[in-house]
Amino acid sequence: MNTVKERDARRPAATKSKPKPIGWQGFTLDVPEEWDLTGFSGDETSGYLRVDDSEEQGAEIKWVTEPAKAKKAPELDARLETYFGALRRTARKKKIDLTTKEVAPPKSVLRDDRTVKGFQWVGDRKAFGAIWFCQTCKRVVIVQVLGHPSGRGSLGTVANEILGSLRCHGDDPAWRIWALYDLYTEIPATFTLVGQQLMNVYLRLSFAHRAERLSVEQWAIANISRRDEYLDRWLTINSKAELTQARYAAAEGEAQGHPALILSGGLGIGLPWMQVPQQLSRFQVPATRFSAVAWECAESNKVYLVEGFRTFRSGDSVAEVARRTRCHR
Amino acid sequence: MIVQFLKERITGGKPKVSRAEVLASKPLRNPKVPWDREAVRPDTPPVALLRIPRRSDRFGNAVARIFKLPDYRKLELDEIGSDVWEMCDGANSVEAITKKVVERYKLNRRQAETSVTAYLRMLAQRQLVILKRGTGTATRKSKKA
Repeated sequence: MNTVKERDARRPAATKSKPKPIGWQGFTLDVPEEWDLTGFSGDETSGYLRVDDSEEQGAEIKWVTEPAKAKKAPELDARLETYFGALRRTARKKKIDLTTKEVAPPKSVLRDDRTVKGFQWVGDRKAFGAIWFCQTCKRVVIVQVLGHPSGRGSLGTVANEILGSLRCHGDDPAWRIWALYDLYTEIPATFTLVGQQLMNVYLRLSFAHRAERLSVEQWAIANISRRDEYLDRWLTINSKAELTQARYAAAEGEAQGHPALILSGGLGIGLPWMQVPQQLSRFQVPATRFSAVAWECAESNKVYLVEGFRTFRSGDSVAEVARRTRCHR
Repeated sequence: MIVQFLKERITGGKPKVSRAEVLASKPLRNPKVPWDREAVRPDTPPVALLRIPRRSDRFGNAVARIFKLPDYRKLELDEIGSDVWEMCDGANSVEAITKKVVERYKLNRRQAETSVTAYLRMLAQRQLVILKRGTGTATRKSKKA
């Protein structure tokens, strides 16, 4: 059952513009419309994420997963002191005065499964942050919202809303939200991110689970890049993921209320079959079945392609991923 | 002094321009470059076709005479490039142009901003546009300044 705190925390950030969801490695947060992902590293176990407005405000998340065998909960005081130490060293190098302090964590951050501590620091920038250990996902998370040292632009309010909206795991443990720029999709939680291409008019997220692979591709300015070309022909030229290694038959269908191409088939003849012995040598059932859903959304002027290779035993998740991929709000 | 000298050598002696200043600046087409919208292929919408005059100094004239160069060379812009070019009238700021591109092509703001600024930089390097310094009212930062 959801607590009142949890329900409050799920409310979108009440900023001037409508909030935009960001989803990465199991984290989800609501940020102002003009904020976007600007940096990331690591993986689900440990990593870093930065989202900002490209002017002066931004949010940073750092996380590390505790070993499953750890008997004791991590000491947040010590972790926070280590973090402050790193900040002080950087400030000394830059010859900046730095003030750090522990504060009561914002109420919006509190959850039943979290041990939380709040902090603030002021140097060349001002930050409102929190460090917590989540018992559900076993991650120690340091999150901070940064802005001008004077706190202009309602930094405190923005920080409170963003910190409150940040969730380190979703309601549905079987699915994970991936949302960046204009792309919003949900991927089975068993799949991990193995590659990405984040270009100006083209986004690709590629995932893998054992031998199975899954990719979501998005092209912007579809009206110009595709023009009147048939979608299947256009995709064979422009796709950079699983479609390039597949042979398939196309059928008509529907996705997100748009006419869609439903592709199904298998590995393409020749080189793509080279991966089968590799997968067998790793004691994996080879992923030889191909399926994909592609559609053009006129409202967002984008082309979407969800595609994947699966084993003959596993169910097809491509259709469900396509169903969970939002193309227009 | 040495540090300043080295800095200038590294940065090319160019002043640093902030993002806010770039967004507030107003690109203006080079008046010496005549252009028109023309349909290059029958099935495509008309795009901007620029006629860039060749160098007309003594050296340029000599080279043109030897190699029989035409008086101008044509440069065909793509569809979005043509729209941006048309908006470079000295009245629209870079931010206004970005907004129009976002609306017209339903692009993400940051994606559009990166593309438009890179494109304008390329045009400026080729001396096809100049960037007039704006009044600084375009962005939140400059509003507060």
